Amino acid sequence: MLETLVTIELPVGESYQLKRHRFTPTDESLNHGKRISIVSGTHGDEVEGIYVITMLAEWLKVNSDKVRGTIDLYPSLNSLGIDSITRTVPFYQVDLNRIFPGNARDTFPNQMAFGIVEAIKGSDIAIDIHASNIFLRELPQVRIAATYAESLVPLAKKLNMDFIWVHDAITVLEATLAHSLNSLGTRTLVVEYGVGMRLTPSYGQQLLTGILNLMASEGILAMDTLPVREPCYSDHGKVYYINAPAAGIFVPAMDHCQLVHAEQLIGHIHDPYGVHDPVPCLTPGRGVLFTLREYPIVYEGSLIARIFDDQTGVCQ
Amino acid sequence: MTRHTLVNLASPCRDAFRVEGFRFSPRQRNDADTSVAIVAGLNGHELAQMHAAAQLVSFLQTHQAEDPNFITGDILIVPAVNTFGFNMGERHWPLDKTDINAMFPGFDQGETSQRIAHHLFEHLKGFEWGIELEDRRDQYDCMPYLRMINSGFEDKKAASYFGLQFAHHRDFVPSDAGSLQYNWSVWHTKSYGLVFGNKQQIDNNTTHQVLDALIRFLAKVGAIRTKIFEGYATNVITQDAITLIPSQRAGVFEPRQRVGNFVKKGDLLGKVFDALDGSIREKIYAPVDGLITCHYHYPLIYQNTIAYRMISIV
Repeated sequence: MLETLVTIELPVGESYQLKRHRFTPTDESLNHGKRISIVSGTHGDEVEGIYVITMLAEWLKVNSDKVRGTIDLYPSLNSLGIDSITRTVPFYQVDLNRIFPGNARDTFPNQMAFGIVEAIKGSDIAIDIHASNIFLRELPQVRIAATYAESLVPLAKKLNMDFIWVHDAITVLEATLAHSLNSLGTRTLVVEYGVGMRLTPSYGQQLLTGILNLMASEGILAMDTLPVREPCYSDHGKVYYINAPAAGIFVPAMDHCQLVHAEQLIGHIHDPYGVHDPVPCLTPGRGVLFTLREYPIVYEGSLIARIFDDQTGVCQ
Repeated sequence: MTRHTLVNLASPCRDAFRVEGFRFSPRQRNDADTSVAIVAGLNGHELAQMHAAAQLVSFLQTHQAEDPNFITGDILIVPAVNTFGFNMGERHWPLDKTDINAMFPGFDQGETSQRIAHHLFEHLKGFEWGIELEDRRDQYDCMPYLRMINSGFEDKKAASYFGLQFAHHRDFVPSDAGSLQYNWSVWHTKSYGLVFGNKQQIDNNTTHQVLDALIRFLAKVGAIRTKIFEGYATNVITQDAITLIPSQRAGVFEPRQRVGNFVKKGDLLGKVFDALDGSIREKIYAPVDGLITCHYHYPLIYQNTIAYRMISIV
């Protein structure tokens, strides 16, 4: 059932609408009462999540007899941004994922944020799907604030992702959708993979398998769980950051998502005028290259790559 | 006066990114009675803020040339931080759209805007007073006001030195965490945000009003030796004195009251028209007696957007 939950009038002949596609058992007596929300499109330059939700909706239409709970799909929270390739909320230039839980009596983006939280809260589980931005390509991963690691890591392991990254709680991240929902009791996982403005269908298929597996294991779908991969887990290793040592154009020398050893060449930063010699970017340690620069123009400090040095051997 | 390049960053193709600072000191720096840093233009839309800071540089330079004893404190003025943004009409760092004013205290091994914040903050730490000149992030025309964040290190008494009508004292919110004003307070600099102006515009009256306020503050904390008229006895207000008046409908907004006007409950504040057929969708009335401090400043207004902000005596 397609529902419109929030309507905010726009100035000229249009409304912002928050829509969701809700799937419930055709026979309500089969509803075991659990509710899951799958959301994407907080950032208008990220379309990987829309693709996964689209595939999930198509799967649920074909397999509606398996539904044993409430499955809510929100493919494009920032619909104005999605339709205009704008990361932020257009006109306001506000990052929607930095103003949650929002406010019904404040700016348009704050009203959006408030309406989104009101719509999703009460769900038992939420999955907030992000692509990377246009600058970086990411391995399929789940990101979890350390505060919620105990309750979320067991869920994350069911999602068929390659990496679970538990990071320190940062004050500014308290304004994200995931933090708001987690603080309201909805166990919310943030998934990130691929690159901005593009689709990576193989990663999308990987996550779809994970979401189906999670829903099966939680009793929301009446089916056997699916085989999923064992993810690397950041608590058992170390993350290296490689930032650009100079400005220029970065040309990678290796592919994303591979095992590397220390002092290996990631790529060179070239001077567009050719005055200065290319500057090599080397790996500081061994591990999995899970983030790699996609957009070539860099300033000093631009993120080039991230490497996870796994101490347990799972990622080898 | 001495001029310093505080941040210098190579660009892939264009001229280097440089942040310039202007330093004024007594003839013997050890004789400085106090120290004040003033920073503007952390985003590239703050034209009025950059202009006011630059006019202050000019004022201090002229008076220092006339009177070698004019400067009595250590003063650093940075009129424009995001110069690349100014030159492109961009609010944020042009490549990755990150907000430099969300990156403090910065990180020298981090991303580009974190490094800019780090290098700049290294020059801004240790001042007794810190003043950030800034615009509002939303579309409002407001009376110039002072903002203090409840950090345990704000100085409410000295807020009156600016002589502005109002100082807004509010609680910390998570989005303050990376701001210059908040991080100054973490490093024990008594900091203020001086908020004024509209995005990408300069109003000469407001520039002079702000310039007067800054000169008054510098004189009262002992950073310069000059005579100046007294300003207002500043009212320090908190959230409970503020009334927010939203537009119930979206459309074309026509404000009928200006900032600084006193209005009575029931007075007409503005109208919202249907953008296509021209009919009146809504008339907005004052719900209380009070002073208009801000009004929405763009012809198109979204539903439930705050059209007016008022303050009342509570």
